Parts: sequence; C-alpha cells; structure tokens
Amino acid sequence: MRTVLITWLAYLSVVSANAQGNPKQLLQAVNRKFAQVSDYSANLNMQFNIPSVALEPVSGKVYYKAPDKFRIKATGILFMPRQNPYYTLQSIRDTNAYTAVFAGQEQVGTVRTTVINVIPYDNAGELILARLWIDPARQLILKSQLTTKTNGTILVEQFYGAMQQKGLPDRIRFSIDVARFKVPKTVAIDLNSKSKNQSLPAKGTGIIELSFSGYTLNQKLSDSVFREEAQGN
Amino acid sequence: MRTLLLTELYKIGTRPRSYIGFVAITAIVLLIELALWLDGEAYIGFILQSLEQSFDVQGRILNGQLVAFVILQTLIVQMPLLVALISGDLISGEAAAGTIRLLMTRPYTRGEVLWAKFTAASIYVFLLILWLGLLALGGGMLFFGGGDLIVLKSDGLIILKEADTLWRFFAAFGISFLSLSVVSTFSLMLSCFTDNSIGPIIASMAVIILFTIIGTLEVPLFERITPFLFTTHMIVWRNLFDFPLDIPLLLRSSAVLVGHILVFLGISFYHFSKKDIQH
Amino acid sequence: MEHIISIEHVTKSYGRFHAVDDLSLHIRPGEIFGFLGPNGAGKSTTLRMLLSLIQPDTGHIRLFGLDQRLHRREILRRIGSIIEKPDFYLYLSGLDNLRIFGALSHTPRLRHRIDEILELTGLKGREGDRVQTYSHGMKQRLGLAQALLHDPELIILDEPTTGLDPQGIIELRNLILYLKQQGKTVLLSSHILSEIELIADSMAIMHRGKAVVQGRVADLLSAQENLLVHLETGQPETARALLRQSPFAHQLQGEKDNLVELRCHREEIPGLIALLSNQHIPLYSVQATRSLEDYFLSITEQARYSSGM
Repeated sequence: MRTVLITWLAYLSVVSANAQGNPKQLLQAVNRKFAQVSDYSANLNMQFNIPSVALEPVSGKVYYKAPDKFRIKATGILFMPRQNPYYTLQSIRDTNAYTAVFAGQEQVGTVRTTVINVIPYDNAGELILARLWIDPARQLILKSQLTTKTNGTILVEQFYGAMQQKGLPDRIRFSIDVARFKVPKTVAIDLNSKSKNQSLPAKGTGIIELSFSGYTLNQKLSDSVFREEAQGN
Repeated sequence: MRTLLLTELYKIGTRPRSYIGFVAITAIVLLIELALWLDGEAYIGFILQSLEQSFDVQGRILNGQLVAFVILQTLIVQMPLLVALISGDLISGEAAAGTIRLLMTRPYTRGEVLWAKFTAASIYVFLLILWLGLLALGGGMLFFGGGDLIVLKSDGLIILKEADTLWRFFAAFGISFLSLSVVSTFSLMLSCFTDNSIGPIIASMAVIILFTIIGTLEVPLFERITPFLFTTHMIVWRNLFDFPLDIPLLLRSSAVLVGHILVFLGISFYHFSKKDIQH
Repeated sequence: MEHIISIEHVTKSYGRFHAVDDLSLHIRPGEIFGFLGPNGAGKSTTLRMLLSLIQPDTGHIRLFGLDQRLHRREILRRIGSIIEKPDFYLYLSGLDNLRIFGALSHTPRLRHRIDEILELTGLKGREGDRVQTYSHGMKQRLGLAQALLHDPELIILDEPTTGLDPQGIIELRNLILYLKQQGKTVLLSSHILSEIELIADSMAIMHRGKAVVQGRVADLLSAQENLLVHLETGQPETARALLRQSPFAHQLQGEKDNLVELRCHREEIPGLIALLSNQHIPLYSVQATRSLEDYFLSITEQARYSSGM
C-alpha cells in the first residue's frame, strides 16, 4: 500500500515539479529559517476547548532547545498534545529520511500555500504521513496535518507575527479528535446529578491553542531546564 | 438559655455514643487516604484512559484537593446516619430513660428546651463537618500536596485552579452543614413523636435512603416529586465544583434546605409543646 | 397566700377514659399533704399536671397564687419534685447529675449546696460513682437530692418510699418532717397509708379521677362513719354470743385476746354499751378508733359501690 502511494505521488511530483521545483528544497528553506534558533524561552498562554473537559486557560513559560528539547513549565493541570509543537519541524529536518511530493496549492487565510506530503521511509517510526501547507514566500509552515500510529491524526495551525523571520509563531493551534468520555456513575459518584454542565459537549474535536510572547532567543539554555521535576512542576 | 444549651452540649459530650461519628469519620478518611496513596495513580489512570489516548495530561492530578473531594463524595451516605444517631435520640432517648421528667420540671418552657437541643445538635453537626474538613482537606494537603482539582463527572471532567478550590470547599462544607442540619432537624422531629430511642434513628435513615432511591430512578412519576425531596438538594454541594457556577440552582437548593429545617422545627415545636409527658 | 396549690375543676381524659374528672383541690402552704388512692385513681396524672408535664383538658391550676399557664417558669423555679422512680443520666455520676439539674434550676452556690444536700440525703462518698452503679435506694436518695437542691418552697413526692428499706423509710419520714419545720410544703403521694397517717396534716383520697374525700387527717380520722370499736370485757365469749343475737351481729369483726371488735357508727356506741351492760357483762374499756387504712379501704369501696360497680 505504502509502495503504491509512493509511486503515485512520485508520478504526481514529476508532473508538478516542472512548475514548482523540488519540494525538499522548500522544506530545506523552512529548516534553514528555523535553524537560526538554537534555543528560546517565552511566555506561554494555553487555552483549551476539549469535549468533556472544562479547563480554564493556563499561563506559564515555554523552553526550547534544538534539536528536540521542549518543555512547558506551568502550575496546575494541563492537557498537551502527545506531539510537541515542533514535531513537524523535527520530522522534516533530515531530508534523506523521507520522500516529499507536491500536492498542489491551497489558500490558507490570505496566503496561497504550497501543499507538500511527507512520507517517512522508516516504517517503524511514529509518523505515517505529514501533509504541510507552506508559505513559499516566507518559508513558513502555516498548517500541518500529522497522521501517527498511536495518536491518530492531529491538525496543527501556526500563526506568525513579529518573530516570523526566525520561524517562530505567535500562536499554535492543535485540533485533535477526542473519543467519547464516559465513566460509570458509581465511579464518578455522580448520583442524582441534575445539573448538566452546558460547557461539556460529548465528543468531537479538541482544540488546544498556545500563545507565545516575550521570546528570548539563543541564551544557551542548560539541559537541566528540560529535566522532569517531581510531579507538580 | 445559655445554661440549658451548655448542659445539652455537656450531655452530648459526655456520652460515648457521640464519638462514634468522629471515630467513623477518622477511620474512613484515613482509609481513603491510604487507598489513594497506594493506588491513586491507577485510579486516575482508569479515569483518564480515554483522554490520555489523545492528550498528555500534565500536572499534579493526585493532590489534596482531589483526595478531599473523593472523601466528601464517599461520606455522602454515612454522615446522615452519624447525625441521626445523636439527633434522633435527643428527645426520645430522654423519654425512654425517664430523664425527660426531670428535665421538663426545670424552669424552662418546652420551646426553650427544644431550641437548646436543636442548637446543641447543630453544634455537633458543625463539629463533625469541621473534623471532616480538617482530616479531608487538611490531611489531604499535608500528605498529597495541593494542586488543581479534577472534578469527575460521569460524562466529563471539570478542572478547577488550585486558587479557586479553597473557597469552594468552604462553601461545600457550608452547604453540607445545611444538609446535615436538615437530617438533624428531621430526626429531632421524629424524636418528639416517640418515646423509643432507636425508632427515630432508623426511621430517619429509612426515609433518606428511600428518598435517595426515588431521586436516582429516572421514572417520570418520581421526577415530579424529586424537586421537593430534601435528599435531592442535599447533594447540591457538588454543584459548587461546576464551571461555571449555577448560582440560581445553589440558591434555590439552599432555600429548600432552609425551608425544610424551618418546617421540621415548626412541627417539632408544635408537637412537643402540646405533648403529654407520660414517661 | 391562702393556698399554695389550687386545682379548680380540672379534667384530663384519654379518649373515653377520665384520668382526672372535675377535680378540685386546695393545699395550704406549710403543710404536709397526703395524696392517696388505688392504682389508676389519677394521682400521678394530677401531679404531672401540677408540674406542667401534662396539660389539663379543662379547669385551672394555680400555684403560689400564679396561673400555671402564664407563669410556668417562675412556678417551676419554686418546686422540687420526684415523679415515679427517679431517672438520671446513668452514664454520668451522681455529682454530675446534681450539677446538671442544679444548674438548670438556677441554684445559687451550687457546689456548696450540693455538699449540703449530699450530707442530708446520705449520699456523701458515693457522689463520684456513675448512677448506673447505684442501688434503687440510692437512686431514690439522689432523686430527693435533686428535688431539694434549689431549696424549693413546694416539694412534690410521688411515692418516694418505693424501694426503700425500713431504715430508709424512717429517714425519709424524718426528712419530710424536717422540711415542714423549715416552712416547706410537701405534697406526698403514697400507697403506704400508715406513712400518710403518721405525718400528713391534710389529705385527699382519689378514686377514678375524683377526689372522693379531702380534709384534715385528724378530722377525717374522727369522722362519724364506720368506726372500729374495741371492747375490753371480762366475758368476751358471752359478749360475742350476745352480739351475735343482736342487730350488731353483722358488724362483729375478728377476735383479739380479750377484745371484742366490731364496726359501728359513732351514734351506735351508746346502744352497744347499753346492750352489754343490761346483760351484766362487765365492760372495762370502749375504744373507738379509725385507722387511715380502714378509712381508705372503706371510702374507696363506698365510692366503687356508688358508681355502680
């Protein structure tokens, strides 16, 4: 199945390559842009809209260190996607590890994006398929749809502002399919409960939105910043 | 009146039976805390398993607030019995023992005697709740630390910020006090009608269990009467952990509980003031 | 104050049963009043009504000149009582029980007063023990102690000698007399009629909710009807044979040494003496006496007959 897909996409890529160039070249440009950042820290605000879960916004700090260290420090309970926000970039860093094919162009907001499908060669890896909507002018990933083995499909949208030159977004929005939450009433001890909380839809798409501000770049962050403390931050 | 109230408190305080409630609460709370200490993570894992397929849930989930919440929920059945054990005996127990004669030949009106007993019972309820609060919330925070509270419902979760939980717990204790005061007044009322010590206690529990079952069954006929049952409103303390707060519901239920107290007290005063003390 | 207790046309019914039936009773201050009657006569009900334990259906009760319904607290402050057997908080000591009831009765200098009363009632040394360990007699004493603790003007005692040994009964009798000397009024109900006879100034006999008789004990004992006459004669057999042939035949009682006993009315005594004298039967003494027990039995029997039983 994977072989058929690769073959078909390869054919399409040959057809479209004449008009758009090598997709890996665009991905490399995206990588180069982000490689300007070896580490950063920023203020973080997280908003949640998850079916069956009522959770108020959480504020904290976020830390990143190339190539793959990412940590959020916040008090309280928070729901994070299973992939960190830079999973996409991590996935495309090694251009020899995957095949990339153009999948046309689409409008994302006001931007005409180039759509690229990325298929890793490694069958054992977590990522099955990544579909990327890239702004070719700014070499920025505006949207990515990641299909993974254990975590299903997740849509990541990135919104850029002052830090777009470094490839750092102001906002990242995750959209995740959520299964129906149900616990027996005797476990919940939710007897006689008549008040149905209106803010808890049963199932659907869960949205987590991260807002970044106050970026501080390339401070040579220590690895100790990314170590897990005792539970509870 | 002060002397009367102090003697009632003294009688309650010197009676071994009065400490059953405190011992029971202590045992139950410690048991739950131990169970959560040993197996709390597994419990949380079970609760969150469907969500953890899609998300990485971070933070101190097993904390003092959650422990206190679980304890409060668990004691929902036991507390009314512990209260009825004392209140149901206040008049009928004295009648059965014969001390009601000596008491009612002191220079106090029937109303004053009943008021003193009601107040003493209310103080007992308050102390029970205070003890529960200290053990559940205080003990929970001590052993498990503080954190955000996950409120588990059968169809979802509500996560409340740590700073937003303390006042909710105090309000919940307040409503629990109101709820248990209804039980206390109800069993005191039954106590006025009989000279049998055990009858009011058992009758109180039977009524509470019956009303709770009626409230649980989703039968159209019963759903018409459940708004009038005090047991329906006794668990409204859980709604203090909703987000957002349903304030009209809370106020309505509180008013219903207060109304029940007044009605039960009124019936008690009326009957007791007219009752012939034969024993 | 002419009467410390005034009961006016008081009735208390339970369904069709009249426990107290149009009772009127007056008790003077400073006297010992005996309240007699068979079981179910209405004594306890009456005492409970005096103490506001039971509400009368009709009638008025005044104590210390005050309407009981309007001045309950003030009245109860001045009364000490034992109704039926004294029941206490068994899980507390005698001292704790006295503290509780003494405080509720607003007893001044309570600790000092408790010590006095413990001495008076013979409980000194056992006050620290739980009432559960007391004998019946000790509980009676404790009952008396709580009744006297606040130095009441009126003491109501419902069968206080029940369960007491003879020594205890004597001590109680002496205590009641002592209380009278102190100016107290004691209302005493009892089945032991000889006790009432010995110490009461006035009395009432209840039967089926009614006071069939009430008055001064001395007056009642010397009343006209049905005296027990003891004749001391030198020829008791001859006297009995003669009396058996006379209209006094059915009035003969048992034999007792040389005494001939018979019941008769006071006005019959001269005729009796004349009968024996005319037959030259020597009479050494004629004693017409009335024991309260005889009076009580005859009155209640009479009341039973008059009500058609």
